Amino acid sequence: MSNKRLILIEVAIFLFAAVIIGRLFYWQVLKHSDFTVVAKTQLENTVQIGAKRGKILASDGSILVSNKKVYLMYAILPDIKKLKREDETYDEFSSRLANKLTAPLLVEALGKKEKVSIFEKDRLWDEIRSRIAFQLKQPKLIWVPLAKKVGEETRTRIEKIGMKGIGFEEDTDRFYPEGSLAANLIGFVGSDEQGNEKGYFGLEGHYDGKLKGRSGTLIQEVDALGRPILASSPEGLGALDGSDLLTTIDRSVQFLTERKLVEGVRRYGAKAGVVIVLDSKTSAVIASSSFPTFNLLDPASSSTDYYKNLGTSEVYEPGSTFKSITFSAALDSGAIKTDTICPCKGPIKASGYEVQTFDNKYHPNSNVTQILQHSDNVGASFAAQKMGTDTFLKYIRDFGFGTQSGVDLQGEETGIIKELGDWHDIELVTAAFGQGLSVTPIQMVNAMAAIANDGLLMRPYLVRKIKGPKDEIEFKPKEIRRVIGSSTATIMKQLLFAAVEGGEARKIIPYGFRVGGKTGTAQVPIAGKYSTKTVASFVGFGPLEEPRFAMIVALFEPSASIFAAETAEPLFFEMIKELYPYWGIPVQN
Amino acid sequence: MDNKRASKTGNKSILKNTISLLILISAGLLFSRVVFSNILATSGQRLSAANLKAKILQEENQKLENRISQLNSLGRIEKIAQKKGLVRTENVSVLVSPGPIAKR
Repeated sequence: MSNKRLILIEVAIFLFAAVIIGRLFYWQVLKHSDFTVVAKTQLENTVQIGAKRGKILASDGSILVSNKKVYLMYAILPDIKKLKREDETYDEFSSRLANKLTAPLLVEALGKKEKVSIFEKDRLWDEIRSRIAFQLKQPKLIWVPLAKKVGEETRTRIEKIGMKGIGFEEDTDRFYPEGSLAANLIGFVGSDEQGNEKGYFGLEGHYDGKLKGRSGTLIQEVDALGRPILASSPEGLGALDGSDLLTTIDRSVQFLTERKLVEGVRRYGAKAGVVIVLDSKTSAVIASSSFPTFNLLDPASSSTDYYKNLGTSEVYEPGSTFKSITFSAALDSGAIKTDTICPCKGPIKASGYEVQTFDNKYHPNSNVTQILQHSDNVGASFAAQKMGTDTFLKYIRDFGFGTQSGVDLQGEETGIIKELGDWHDIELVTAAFGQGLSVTPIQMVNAMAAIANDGLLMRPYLVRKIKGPKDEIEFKPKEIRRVIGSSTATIMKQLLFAAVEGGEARKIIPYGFRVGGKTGTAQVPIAGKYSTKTVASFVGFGPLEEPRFAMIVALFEPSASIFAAETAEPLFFEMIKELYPYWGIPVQN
Repeated sequence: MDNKRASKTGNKSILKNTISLLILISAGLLFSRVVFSNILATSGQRLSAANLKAKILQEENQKLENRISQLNSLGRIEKIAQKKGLVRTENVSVLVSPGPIAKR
């Protein structure tokens, strides 16, 4: 073989090898990332794992909120179109199908409503039917959603219709075994801007981060049929279910106070009402009810005004209930003593204004007990003037007014307490009987709990344990500060007991419950002037010897009577009449 | 000469044994591979079935838990009590156990 031919063969082999190497370089190096993706899609199956939202439990562990399986109902339009008859138009066809599907969906929608009129029923029918008919008429789509959060029973009913092209995709929804009980405490779950679940208001809002958990992905190698292969362990980030909240809410007390509050608001023709029951030793929230409230099963059907918890977000002037704070401060600071006598002969003047008693009757030479029994504005002003602004304001702030109580609920207000520089004589005397400053019901009842708790102010709380999939966090009662001395608290308890026993409502309240407390009938300021509308409230604790609870009942703008002694106070006693036997507290004969 | 022949026979025997051993090992490995592949091939299916079963059981558990809490709901109990004509008693006495003698 000549050299030339050998060289030619060598070159040919070299070129052939170069082409192969070049091609391999192209596929394996230049196109590496593209093929890695293709290989991954063929070999790996990525599963999105949704995290289960945590439950909300009452203090006895019973369920207030849990989860249930629901479905997204959809239609595959090419399959649906096969059901069209030749003699009908497309409008007639979609309308016929929509009529068939609407009936079961309407039954489910009606089940979520509390009361439905015939008009509302017709409106709902039209709304569901037209939405389905519209979706079925979509010209360019293949898959269309028809209804969200469809329950299992409804799914079974629809499947019985036997319509081809209708399918269901699994989803979850919140489940409320107690219906709308504690709706304002619980809040609800809606969607954020990205369509993800998000808790709003109450515990759902405050503890959203803990409740929702973390969704995860699982990457598994699969065979040609898509079944997982055990040769390698699955990779990815596992889902972490949301934590459960064990609350301090007593289901029975919550149920009772809610029922009684609704009755009270209706009976006294009030615009709204609120009840909060605290454990007076720990400030754990035993129950908290607001009315009007919203329907937990269908929050969208209620006015957004009803979503908030009035107990923490309603700011009002406390009126005479605040005298319990005024006298606690005056006695603790030593400005007055229990036997200090107030001249209280008539109206007093401050900053050019005249301050009167609520009935313009005066009780000269009253002691502290008598001032509280008569709910004497002049007497309270006298005590405040004895203290002076600095001291009084310090006690007001120490009792927790003007700042959030720290309760674990979304949307807590602080109330309004003016800065020291804005206080003049008139602010000092009106604050003494709860005007010119604003508080929230939770602040007021927590301050009363501090008096009942020998002068120790505690942080109110609703969740005592967060039970996560991996760990548990337990919350212990937290002391904020001592606001008055133990001996002052003992005197105040006696004074507040005497205020109830010898107060205006003494003839209509039941005997033997040994409750200390104070009524408050505060005029509602509108456009800078006090109107004839009132907030009637009663805040108290019991039993006197060993207080176990502090409770506030507030009625906003009652019309049957504007006075707390005729509305809020009797309602308070109606509740404790049932709560004492439940708690096993003896009633004196 | 005899020694050389004996040595050759010995070498042949060692070679024979080695080859037999290699064949045996290969057969063993081949068999293991078949068994292992078989396990792998069917385990995916078993895993899927187990996952599905676990999911069904979890759902069933959730359903039962929800049903129990629904049956326990105070609203439902009150409705039943009203239906059966039960009324709230007005006269409740709470009996308090006396403290120990030494404490009195």
